[in-house]
Amino acid sequence: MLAELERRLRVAGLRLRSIWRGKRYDGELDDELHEHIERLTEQYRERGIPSAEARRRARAAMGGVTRQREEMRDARGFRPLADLGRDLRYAFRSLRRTPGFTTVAIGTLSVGIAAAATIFSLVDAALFRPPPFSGADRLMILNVTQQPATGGLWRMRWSWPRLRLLMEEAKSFQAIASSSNVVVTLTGGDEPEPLDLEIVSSRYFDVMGAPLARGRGFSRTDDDPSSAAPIVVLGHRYWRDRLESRADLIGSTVQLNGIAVVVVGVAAPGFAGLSGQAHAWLPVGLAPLVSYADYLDTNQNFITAIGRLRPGVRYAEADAELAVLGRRIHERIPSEADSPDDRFAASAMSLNQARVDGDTARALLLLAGAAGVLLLIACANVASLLLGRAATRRREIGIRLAIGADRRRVVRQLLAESGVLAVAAGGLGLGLAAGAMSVLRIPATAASWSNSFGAIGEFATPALDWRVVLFGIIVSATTVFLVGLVPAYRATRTDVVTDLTLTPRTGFAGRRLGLREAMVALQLGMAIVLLVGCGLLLASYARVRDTPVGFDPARLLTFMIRPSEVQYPPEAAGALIDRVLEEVGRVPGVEAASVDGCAPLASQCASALLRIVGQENAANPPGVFRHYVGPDHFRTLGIPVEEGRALLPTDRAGTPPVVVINRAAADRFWPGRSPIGQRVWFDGAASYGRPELSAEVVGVVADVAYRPVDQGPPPPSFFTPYSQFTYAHRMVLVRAAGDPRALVPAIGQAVRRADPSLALFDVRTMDERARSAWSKRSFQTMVLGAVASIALLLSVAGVYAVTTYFVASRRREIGMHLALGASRAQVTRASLGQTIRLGVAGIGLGLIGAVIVAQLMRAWLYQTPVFDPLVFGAVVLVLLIALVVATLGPVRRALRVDPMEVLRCD
Amino acid sequence: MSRPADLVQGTLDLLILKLLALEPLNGWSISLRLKQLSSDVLQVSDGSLYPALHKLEQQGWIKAEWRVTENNRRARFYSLTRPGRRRLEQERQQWERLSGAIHAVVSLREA
Repeated sequence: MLAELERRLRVAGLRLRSIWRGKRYDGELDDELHEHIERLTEQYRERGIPSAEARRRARAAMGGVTRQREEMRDARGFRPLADLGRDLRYAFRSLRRTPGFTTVAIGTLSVGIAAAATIFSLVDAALFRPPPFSGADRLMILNVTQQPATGGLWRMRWSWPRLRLLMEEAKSFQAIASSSNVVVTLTGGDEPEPLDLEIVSSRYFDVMGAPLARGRGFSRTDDDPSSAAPIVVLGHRYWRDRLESRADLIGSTVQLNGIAVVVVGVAAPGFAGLSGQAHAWLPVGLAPLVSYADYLDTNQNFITAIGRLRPGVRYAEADAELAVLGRRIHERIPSEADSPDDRFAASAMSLNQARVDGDTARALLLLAGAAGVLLLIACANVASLLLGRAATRRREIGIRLAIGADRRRVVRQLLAESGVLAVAAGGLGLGLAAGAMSVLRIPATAASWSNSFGAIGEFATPALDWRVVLFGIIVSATTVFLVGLVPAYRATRTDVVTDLTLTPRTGFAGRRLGLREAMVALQLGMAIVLLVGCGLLLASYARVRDTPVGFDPARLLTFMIRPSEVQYPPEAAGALIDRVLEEVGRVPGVEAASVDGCAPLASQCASALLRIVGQENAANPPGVFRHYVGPDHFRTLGIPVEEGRALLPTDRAGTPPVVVINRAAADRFWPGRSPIGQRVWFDGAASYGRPELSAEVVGVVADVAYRPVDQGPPPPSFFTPYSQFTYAHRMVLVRAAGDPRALVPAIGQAVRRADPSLALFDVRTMDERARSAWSKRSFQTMVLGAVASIALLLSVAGVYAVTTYFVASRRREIGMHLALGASRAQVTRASLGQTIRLGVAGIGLGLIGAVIVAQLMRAWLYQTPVFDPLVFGAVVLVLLIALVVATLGPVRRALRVDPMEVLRCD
Repeated sequence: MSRPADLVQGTLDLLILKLLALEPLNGWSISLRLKQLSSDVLQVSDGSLYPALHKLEQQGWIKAEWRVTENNRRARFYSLTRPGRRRLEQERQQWERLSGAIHAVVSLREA
């Protein structure tokens, strides 16, 4: 026993040694062999043989040093390892011999892998990557919920009075914090500068699990306006980039919205708050001074609440507690304009869940499905290529088996070839994916704008992290080994004799084609599904863009001004806007200017509840869009006045209240008659809020798309002059004579002449706003379009490959037909028949899939029927053309062949 | 027999092991010794001796070391390892069984 162990150890040692020092070992063996040859030569010489002849004989007796060495090497060392190297070398050599096949196979597979990896990382970034906060899985977004008697569930945010009660009474949470995003003006530098910040309650940094890098945060007293200190915490990036990491920052003073605040802390590196874009944090006690005088008193639900679950408390328990607590809070602080039947409560939702809106998730899953299909197409393509290759190499393999090659070795060699393909395709695919991701990065971020927490950190930024790399490796390895195994197995399960005696064109060729045909038909079908999906989106997108928006978006500049609402309450705001519009109007190149609460296409307009004097409205007054605008508003946007008059500079505070409505409002509330002279008021609103403050309808203007056109027809809109009532936060709209961008510096100066503390926020041309309103749709269309085009390309390449093979394997047959007098047209027809069979099968298969997919896509279609004949027809036509092109090439090449040559060859 | 008998497959190993059991030898001496002892009946082709030695070494039955020969040449000397000795015993028994059986068959008298 011991002896056996000793032997095994010795063997292992020898083998290891032969790996370390194979060369030197060979040298020793050479010495030994040469020694032997020397002696043998001497022996021969002693028998009187001349020395040259003696040496020759000695060598012959030994049978060649090299062969000996090879044999000895086989006897030692790790044979599998050596074989692997040999298999790989063999694979490289044989792949290099067929550059066409190699290029197409690697290209196809890498494109499939790249598409899958790119979209996987996109989906991962948007849906699955956890938020970048420590213990993020215990973070809950808390909502007030409203269940109307008519059904449905609305999630809302909180008002401060309600949120205070929640913070005091909720037991399931370690702490609850509030947060709301505001943009303030930072003054003290060369020019006033906009700064994104969050107004937060004192436990915010604890809840977020983000201890400060320097200084201190807020204390409980800072939640109360009477005791709040004028302090601010700055973001790490702002401190580093804008303040050059000044060490004496703590204790220094900055001006925010005209209020001097002392810097007390710097947030952790990389922390950008719940909004993902905050550069500073102010205590909520300062909110009335910095943001909005009624911030802490109003019952409007506009503050985000976030809580960290107490250890051991489960999500469901917290949610149950909130349901009860929410109801109680609402009993104590009811909303004014609520229908008596609505039920109020509260609920919790994990941050990771809250940050994904269903629409984005569905859109991304659609793309993921498309990428998966593309990958399948690529795999089918490579499988059919490998099958074809195996078929043509059957003879070669047959010969190798006949001369005694080990079957397992042959299979291993074929698999090594697949492995080389997989590694090359995987590497290339991931490289392509990295490239594609850098392109996708920007629109991917833009596409998630409508998602309130979507901007958190790197959420929306796809990245090629290790999971994506792993994904790519697994996909490519699985694909190639699965699709490589079948041909490899088949290739060796041949009867050697049959293979050597039969030529590859007869016998098995027809049978083998069955599987390849199925693969190609499957590819065509999947390509059709993608093309139809893409076509439907494209048609919808074109129709969205063609839908009139009701105004002229060209040469229109838009920006926000955010004066301090403390300095400019509604009573003072009108005069400020007078000055702003007057100064902006004086800038050369400005044709007209106005203000509004929102820009068209943005769906962020204020709304109010409409009451019509003299009409007994039902308990639920309808919601309408409210706009406080300037007298030149309709001229600025290019909206025609259809009835009555526009607003005039003479409609001012103190003159009779007036309102201009849009066509949609006129048709809905006064169908079939003129609304001019009717009086309306807005229930619960700060302006025209009571029957005795009602405004007279003086004009009707054409409809304008105040929300993206695919979100519904223009809503009823009511325009009143800002001089009668306005808030100071306004969107300024400027019609330029030329390039609106060129006016930005001059307009900035003009606005500062009106008030030196004002900065321009969110400066964009109307064209840019329109683009971002469409960004989600265009992004989705673009990505699916890219995927579908690649799918088309790949499946046509598949058809091309299978036709080429089909024709090549029938060259002899074709030659025979031609020699026997068949016309070229007849032969072409016969070959086309093959393609047509494939095409019909593929198209049939694809149309079935397309019908299912189109149904799933219903929600994204705009003015496009699910079975749009245009889209379906175009897709089938494109595919047929591609098929014919892919077929005719190889067939024509085959026809050029001299029949005699074909018949003579073997 | 006009030409030396080919070695029965596998018997070369046995012969080498047996020779080495007597004393450590180098490759040249092994081939000489085989011819002498078998009176030139058994002639190992020089081409197959070294691979066989090598295989035995790799399997751990024999070991090799460089030594100086009687006439001051460097040569690789092979000697039996402990497991090799046991192996020899096994092979020898097997050979005796085999040759005994063959002998029994060929010495049958013809009727």
